[in-house]
Amino acid sequence: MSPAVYLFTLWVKFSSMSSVLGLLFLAIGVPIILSSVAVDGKTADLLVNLVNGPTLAMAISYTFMQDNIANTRQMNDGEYLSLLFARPLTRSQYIVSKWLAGSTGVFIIMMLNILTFNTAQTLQGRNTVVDLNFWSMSDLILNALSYSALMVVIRSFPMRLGIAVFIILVYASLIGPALSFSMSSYEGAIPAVYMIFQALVFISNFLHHFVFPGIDLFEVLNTTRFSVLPLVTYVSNILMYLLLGTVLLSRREFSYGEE
Amino acid sequence: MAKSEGSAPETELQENVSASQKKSYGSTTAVPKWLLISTMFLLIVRAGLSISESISPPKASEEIKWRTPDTITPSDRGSDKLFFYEFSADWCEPCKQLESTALSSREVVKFLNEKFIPIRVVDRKREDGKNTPATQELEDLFSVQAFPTMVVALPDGTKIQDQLGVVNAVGLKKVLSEANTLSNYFHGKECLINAEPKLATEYFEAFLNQTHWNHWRAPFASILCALAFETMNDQEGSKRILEKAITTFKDHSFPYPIITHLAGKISFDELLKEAGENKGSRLMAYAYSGVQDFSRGNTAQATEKLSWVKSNSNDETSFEYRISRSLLAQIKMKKHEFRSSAAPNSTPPNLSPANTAPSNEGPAIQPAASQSGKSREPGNK
Repeated sequence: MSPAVYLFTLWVKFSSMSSVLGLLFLAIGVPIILSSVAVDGKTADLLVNLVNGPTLAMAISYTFMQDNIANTRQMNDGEYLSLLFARPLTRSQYIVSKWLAGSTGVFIIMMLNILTFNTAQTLQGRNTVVDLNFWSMSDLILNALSYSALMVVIRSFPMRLGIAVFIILVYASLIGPALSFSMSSYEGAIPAVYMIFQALVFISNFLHHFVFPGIDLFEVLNTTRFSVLPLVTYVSNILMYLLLGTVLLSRREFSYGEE
Repeated sequence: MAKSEGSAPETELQENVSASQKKSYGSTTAVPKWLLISTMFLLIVRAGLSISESISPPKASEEIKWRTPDTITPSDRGSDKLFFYEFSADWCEPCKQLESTALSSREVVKFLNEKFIPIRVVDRKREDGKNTPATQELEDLFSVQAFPTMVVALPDGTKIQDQLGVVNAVGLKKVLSEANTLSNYFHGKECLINAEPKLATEYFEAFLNQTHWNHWRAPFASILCALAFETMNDQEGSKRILEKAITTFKDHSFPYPIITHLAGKISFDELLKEAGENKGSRLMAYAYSGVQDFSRGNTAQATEKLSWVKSNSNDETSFEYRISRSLLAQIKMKKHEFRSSAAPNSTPPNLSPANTAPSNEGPAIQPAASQSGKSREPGNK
């Protein structure tokens, strides 16, 4: 890891007014809006799933990583990238630094997000729905690390491809709760509708198993059927994303004459 | 010339730097071997574990003691424990996911086995064309349309909580804990109808303490708790609950005006004005005010209010309807007893709950009368 890249990434994000405003909206604006519509316990639980689920974590990671990975435009780290790679800094060091900086930022934003949501709930005379304890804090840190790793890869793609992949992942994360149950009967449904539903379930399950890198540490460690598979899946996903990020970045050329 | 003179040492320097760079960094674009090897290794291990666990899933160290709908006995129905139903089907993939995650959590397994009667209801319509009568009855009772659906209910079938779809262990534990807390509220209501006001106050106070008076049902629990105290002629207890409710609840919409009315701060007419044209609010106003009148011996006013509830309520299973019907039956019985006692050689009336209420209506509240013995204890006080 390069401490210079790590600190510079955080500094760039938290010193730019436009990115701070965007992040503040996700950290404070979104939970206030969600809390104001959480009129009862059920709605609050649904919204907490949204806050805790992959969608918001991905949105925050994506926003935080914006213009952060190998940005060649004359903004943020684009100004110094060519110079940076003229130095003996390996691409993998760069990727790891960006990943850790992103994780730190995502953790801070997610933490603010939950604190704001809880405060808004308390001010409205409702119970807080996200308990901040060892398990939730561990999940917050682990998920910040994993979602940032995923976003490092997405942000390393050419821009249009990256946006397309991000939209597919958001779709899968949003449709996930709707596919967490099966209807008891499809009698009367048009066969094509049923087939589309089955296809959606398949795609969503595939993405959840192989792409979404989240982990529920409490569930993994407090189970009566202990398995190392979730832990291996979590670590292998992060390593895979860092490897892909390094490979993608290594294939790009950077020089002063590029502009 | 100078350039050509300096070119030899520069080349030498470049070679030296390049060599030292290569030694310490290698190529800056090279993928580190440790990253490549560890990623490949973990992906292979992951694939191997996935295949092995799909063939032979990990054995559970502790399991939920599932029952089936056909094995529920009358003693289960009479138990204090809540019923936890899990509706699933063999073809349902999310059900398998739930089974291997939240329903395998040590804390959930322990909590379910200790505090609940877990009942697994497996739908067989797709395989067999129909369900067993017990399964179908439960699916109809709880309007189950999808799997997995989890329902927590009182033994009499009153639904307390439900959860559709896969949930994680923390979420499920929370649903179960809330259901356990909520059961105190429902038990309290039943005790009030069954002429056990002392036990009712204990249940309601347990519910209020567990929720820290911060639940949307807390205002209702405080009203019912105060009424239960009044029924025992414990005006101090009633006053204590109502005063705490007045200072605690910040939301002054309905049913808050009922609290202020019961505390004597607003009249019944003012209460009705607060209720407006909302039928549900008016039913509550008439019912709760009627119960207070009954407890204080204002039989004429109680009869008028409770009759209004009985004739205007469309839901015969509602608490307001049931309590009104019970109290009206008791008032009628007392009038009859009064006439009988006025007659010579009449026998003294037996005011035990079982004798005062008609058999089809169940026992009713006894104003400051003898209380039936304790049969249950409020959970998690």
